[in-house]
Amino acid sequence: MTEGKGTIKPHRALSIWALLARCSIFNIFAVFTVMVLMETACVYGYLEAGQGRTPAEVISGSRISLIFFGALGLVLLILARSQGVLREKSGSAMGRLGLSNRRIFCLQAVYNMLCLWMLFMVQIWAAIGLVRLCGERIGGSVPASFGLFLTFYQSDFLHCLLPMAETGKWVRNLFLLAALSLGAAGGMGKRGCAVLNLLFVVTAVWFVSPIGINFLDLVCMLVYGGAIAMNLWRQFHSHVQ
Amino acid sequence: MLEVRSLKKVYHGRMGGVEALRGVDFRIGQGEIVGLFGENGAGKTTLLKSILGLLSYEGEILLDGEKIHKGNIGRLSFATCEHSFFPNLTPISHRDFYQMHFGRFRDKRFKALMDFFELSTKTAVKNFSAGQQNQFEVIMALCQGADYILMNEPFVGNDLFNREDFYKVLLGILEPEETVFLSTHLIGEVEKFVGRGILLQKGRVTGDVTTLELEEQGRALTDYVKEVCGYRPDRVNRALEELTQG
Repeated sequence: MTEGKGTIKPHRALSIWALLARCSIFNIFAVFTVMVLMETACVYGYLEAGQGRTPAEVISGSRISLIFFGALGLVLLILARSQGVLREKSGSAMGRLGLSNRRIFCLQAVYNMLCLWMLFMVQIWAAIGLVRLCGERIGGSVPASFGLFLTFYQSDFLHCLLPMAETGKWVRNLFLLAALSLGAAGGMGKRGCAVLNLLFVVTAVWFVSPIGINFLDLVCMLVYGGAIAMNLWRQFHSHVQ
Repeated sequence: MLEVRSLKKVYHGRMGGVEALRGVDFRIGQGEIVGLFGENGAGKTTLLKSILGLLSYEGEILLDGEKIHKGNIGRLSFATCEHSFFPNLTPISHRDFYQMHFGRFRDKRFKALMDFFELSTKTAVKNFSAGQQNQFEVIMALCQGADYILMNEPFVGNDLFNREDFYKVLLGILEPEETVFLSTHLIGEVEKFVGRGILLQKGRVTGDVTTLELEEQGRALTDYVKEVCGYRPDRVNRALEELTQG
């Protein structure tokens, strides 16, 4: 029943991830599905109304970014709530496992990161599909693949989702995923909830920014970095392990 | 042996600290079935949670001379009225999960108890009735393969027949090396089941007696507890008289 100081048996880690998935994954998939359907409906409606001359304009005009942030908020809520319930309702069972609270926290954070990464992936693939749909409906002189590439540079939202060659934005997004994952793993306590809300608001307001690293990106990274440090400090200085 | 030495616990709040445990000392040998009794707020739940490492505390809690840590905590199991199972999982998933984490999981006992209490193995536990959830909670504590089984009011919400069944089943299935430490208010019911009673009052152990000693004295456990607690049977009558006369 014991674990070595620095090791964790893979099947035990898998069992914790399976437990976390059982508590949240179906709801998260439902959110993904609704997000994609709503975005498709919005883009289709925008195109039907005859608005938008380029795919980038359609993506911006149909405001799919708002739907994405709604989905991000819901996924965070599902993760934080399910893990909070697990901690509250099944805390004594989790406490009897051969895994320390820190390890369980780390496993939760990794699971959360995977879920958020999936959300980004689903959004990127949905965006690719929608841009292609726009390209077909609007038509144009540029080849489809180049049009797609161009749209991911022309639309700030899409560029922030998939920053191509822009290392700064990749780093910012990595900070964002880490901060949200650790925040959601912290559960729904008073302080944890406030930090997660702050992170979500900062993301929703400042995620979409122009190409290149700007002041807002730096502020975001500072906020994310602060939240990461705070969550790690809380976990690694907890009295009861 | 489970040894508790000078255990103190203070809950800190805005209005100052509340001493829940004020130097608790006792030992429980392997194979004993011990009842933990006391009024509400006596510190029973705090004591059990401290043993399980769910709360920080002052003092020492030793399991066979060793402090309780992640390496030996699997030797303790816990059934609580607050429930500790995973609501979204089915009993089968619980079994699989426990088997991965507790190498001594008692699969045969699990099957037998699930059959006896006629619990579905493929329904998420959150869909069980309150009584069934209590049953399942106790089943998991019994099947974890722990040497020390801690229970905190595990039968709250179960009917009398069900509780009777449980006491009989417990007595029938427990192996000699398995220890039960049961906190309950149902003193009369567990009297025949426990071999020893520890009485907790305002965070202190005020009584520790074996049922054999009581038998020799011709006293019942309930009477012993009432006596040590200073329970006055005429208290209600007096109060009623005062109320009706006033």
